[in-house]
Amino acid sequence: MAEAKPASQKIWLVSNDNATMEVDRAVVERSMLLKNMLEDLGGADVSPENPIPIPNVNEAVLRKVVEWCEHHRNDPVAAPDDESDARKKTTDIEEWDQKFMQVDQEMLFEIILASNFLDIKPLLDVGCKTVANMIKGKSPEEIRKTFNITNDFSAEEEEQIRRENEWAEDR
Amino acid sequence: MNIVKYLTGLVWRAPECQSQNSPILQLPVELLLNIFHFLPPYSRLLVYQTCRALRAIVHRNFVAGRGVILVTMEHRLIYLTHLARSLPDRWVCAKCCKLHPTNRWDTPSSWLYRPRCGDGYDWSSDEHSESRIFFNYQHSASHRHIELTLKYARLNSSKRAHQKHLKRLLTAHHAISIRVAEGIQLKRSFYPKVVDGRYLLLTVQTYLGVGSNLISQQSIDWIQICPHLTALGVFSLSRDHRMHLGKIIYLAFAAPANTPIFESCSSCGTDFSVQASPKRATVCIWQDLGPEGSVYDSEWAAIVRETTKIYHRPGSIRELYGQHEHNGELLQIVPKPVVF
Repeated sequence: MAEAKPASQKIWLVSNDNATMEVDRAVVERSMLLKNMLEDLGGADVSPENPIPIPNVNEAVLRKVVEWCEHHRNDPVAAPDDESDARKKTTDIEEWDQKFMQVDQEMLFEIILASNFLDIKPLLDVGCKTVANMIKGKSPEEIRKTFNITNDFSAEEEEQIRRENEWAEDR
Repeated sequence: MNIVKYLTGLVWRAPECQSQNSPILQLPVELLLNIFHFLPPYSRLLVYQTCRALRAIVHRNFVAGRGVILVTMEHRLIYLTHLARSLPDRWVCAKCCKLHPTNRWDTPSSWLYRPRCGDGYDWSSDEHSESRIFFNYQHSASHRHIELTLKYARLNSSKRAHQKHLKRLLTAHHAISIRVAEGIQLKRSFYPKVVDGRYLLLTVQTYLGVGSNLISQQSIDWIQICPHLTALGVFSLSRDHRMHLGKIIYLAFAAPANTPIFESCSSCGTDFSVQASPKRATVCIWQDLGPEGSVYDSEWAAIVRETTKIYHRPGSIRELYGQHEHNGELLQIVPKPVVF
């Protein structure tokens, strides 16, 4: 018989730079990876002395991810195969999430990587939408400038791009 | 089971770095694709032109086998609008759906340049207006003037030709006409300004009696504040709007001499004031023609078409225009609102 899991049950996570944090199990379970793992392992052997290691996620990023999970702890969990067009079409981000994502680019991409690893789909979507909104409305040169991308096209490739845009040139 | 083993087996393998300096290029391809799925097709095509790595990803997943497709006219125009943001020597023609070369003498007041395609306005279509259908349209800024003004201001180019063109585009211009039948002189002055990346236009229309003729309410029955507030004699676009405008002009003449009546259009970014005396009537119009964008943007569409409507807080555009000065010149003619 499955063991009861009170919402207030505590789980301990440790970042890759050895910072341990105590989090409610309900919050941790926003991560499908950790939720499945806790169910597989029973969660019995997780303690302050034996926390769950989160490799490749440092303390600052893990705290941000936990902050997001805390805020969204009561959100309904989307179906695992929810790949509807509606989800893909909108880049609207709710106000709290917009403020949450007002971080430098390094942190933004770290959050995206961490949410992908921890399998927190709604957070991954918010991160990807934030980057998409940074791309939208910009010229190729502005996109390069925003993301510090070097134009590495050869002269032949530049010519190819020019030919692709020939339809728009006034002749 | 060992928790550490369970998790370390799942750690992603970072792809070989394509660029140490660009964090976005260090994301795994599946995450980049996740981001690109949130982009409209025209934005993906712009990403396609940034660097080899992103070009390869966009090509493999969105272009290969399908070609470069922008299905609608709107998408093609928005694509060109974004492409032209970094091209100060090009402007986007909504009529031809092409990038025309910029002419440095092209300003709202100048007749020295007109695009070969007319003035970019498609008279047969109400869908993508480049110009405004104003009876005084020859002095109104077309969309290309707004596009170029805002682009030059943003790019802050060190090229003298661009700086000079920007200065010309922002120069105040005036037009005087005499209405012999009514015995009045009409002077129109246009004061464009860039505030917070938006193109604001103050138009001052002054009606003066010629000789001993006095100004009356009937003297200004031909007036166009915006597409929604128009009184062109019997040709007014909307009876309700004509009555609304007529009421404001009536109030201005009924008020003590030179007391301004402040009003706003409820359908587009226009604030205005009317003040009148038997010798002179002045109509000031503050308009927000929007930020950089395409002719499909709602702010522009509402200024050129009666059918498009947007809301703004009454008086906010007048406030945004700020001090009534233009290039250091204080505009004495513009009334100040009375604070009770």
